[in-house]
Parts: sequence; structure tokens; C-alpha cells
Amino acid sequence: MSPAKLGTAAALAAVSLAMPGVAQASFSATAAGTAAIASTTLRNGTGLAAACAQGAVKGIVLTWTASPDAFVTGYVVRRSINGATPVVLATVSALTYNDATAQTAAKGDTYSYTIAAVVQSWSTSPSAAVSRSWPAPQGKCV
Amino acid sequence: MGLQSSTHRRAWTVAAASVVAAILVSGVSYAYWSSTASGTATIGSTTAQPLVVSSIATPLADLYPGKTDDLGFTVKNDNAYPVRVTALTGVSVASSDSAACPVSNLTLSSAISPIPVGGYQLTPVVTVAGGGGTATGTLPGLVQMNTTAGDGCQGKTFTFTLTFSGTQQ
Repeated sequence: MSPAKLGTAAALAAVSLAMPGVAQASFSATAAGTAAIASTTLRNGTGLAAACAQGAVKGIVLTWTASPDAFVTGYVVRRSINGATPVVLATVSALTYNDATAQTAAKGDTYSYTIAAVVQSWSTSPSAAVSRSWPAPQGKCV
Repeated sequence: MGLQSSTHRRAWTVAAASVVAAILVSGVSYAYWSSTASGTATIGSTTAQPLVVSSIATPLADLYPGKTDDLGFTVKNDNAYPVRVTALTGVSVASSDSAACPVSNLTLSSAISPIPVGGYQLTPVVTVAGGGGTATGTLPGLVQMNTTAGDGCQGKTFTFTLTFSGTQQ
């Protein structure tokens, strides 16, 4: 190629550079980086209360307020008798539970209850315990 | 006059060689940017900047066992020209606590993982203005937490490394 023709090619290149929008249209682009999702931390129900049942219902009646997590499917109710290791009484979807077996409590017994919210394989830590006792000598639930 | 003409031709030759060299260098610098980049483009302009993907301002934090979530992302474009981000070409995920909650507790959408040939096409396409412009996009239904995920998966962060392709608008 003669110098003169190279000069022509250079001139054409210069013209194409003057129209970068046209040249850029043939480019592709890449983008990379990270984005995140987090899992929630399950929240328990609140306001657990235990009442000595009166009238037709016997035993201890537990009530509580729902977890703010609407997807909670139930609550595990645990009971400890006189400080022993807690045992699971039931898993319920309602916001109340009647421990009818408490009507057989002996004088001097103390029953303590907790709840823990659950969804699938997740569970919260147990709530703070609430208790009722049957002090001697009367053995009446208080 | 003849000397001047000869000198002029040599000047053109030097100019031409310089432009060819610049084209070759430009081709190298754009190798990351695109395997299909033409060597004739953007000589004399600034070096192309790769677009940067990051989390949206308020990423979702509501994943729990059985829940499926979208993944929002932000794309920033430091180039002078707008870019259309059209396809997801790569995705991987890491857990903030791989011991208590390995990523095996997650299932990625079958539409996205494995990535289809040609990439997972974004709908809608994400158009990002130039000059530091940002835009957000969504990968719908990207991830589900398995129903068997244990308590160790509560309050964890899952970071997705994403790669996209697109075109200059």
C-alpha cells in the first residue's frame, strides 16, 4: 500500500471517529457485582398469661398475642412441673391452650409454661415462663 | 515542493500507523468489555468502564422456610453513553454463615439456574443512563428457602454474584 493510500485510510478513520454514536452501536456491554437477600429472624408471640380455670373448664388456660410474623403457623406449648425439664404439651395454631391435666396437680405443685412460635422447621426460643401453683394446705390454684 | 509533498506523505504515514496502533490497543482494552467489539470504535474517547452491580437500597430481608423471594439489583454505568442490560449470564450464591446455613438450604429458580443458553433474558430490560446513571432490575422468584432449613438459617444474608450482558443503547 502506498503512503498516499494509507493517508486516505487514516482520513477515513478520522471521519468515523467523529461519529462515535455510530461506532458504539456495535458494542455489547457486561455488568458484574453482587446483590443480597436476607432471611428474617422469627419473632415469638407475646403476653403469655396463665389463668386458673373456673367453671366448666378445668386446669390452666393459657393465652397470648400472635407473633407479628404473619407466616407463623403455630406455637409450641411447653410445661415444666416444679422446675423439671420442660416437655412439649402441644403445637397449636390458636392463641390459647387449655392444660386440662393441671386439674390433677398435687398440693404444693407449681406448673410453668412457655410458648415458641414455629414455621416449618424454624422455631423461636421459648418465651419467658408463666406459672401457677397449688399451695398447701388448701391446694387451690393461684 | 517535492520535499514538502514527501514530508506530507510521511506525516500521513505516521498518522495512519498511529491510528492503526491505537485501534489495536483499543481492541485489547475492550477485550473484557466485549468479545465482539469492533476495532474501529471509540478511539479518542475515554476507556470503557464495566458496569457495576450492587444491592438495591433496601434489599429484602424476609426469607423463611418455604418462602420464595425476588432479587433486586442496581446497575451503575460510569460510561458516557446509556447501556441496555438485557440478560443474566452468570449467578452464584454464598451464605453469610456457611456452617449454620449452607447454601444447600436454598433452591434457585429453574428458569435461571442453570443459566439458559444465551443467558436469562431480563423482562423488562434494564436501561442505565450514562454518566454515572443507575437503574434497578429484578430477578423474579430467584430463590426459595427450603422447608427443611433449620434455625441456623434465621437472620442470615445470602449474597448473589451476578453477571449480565447488554448493549450500548
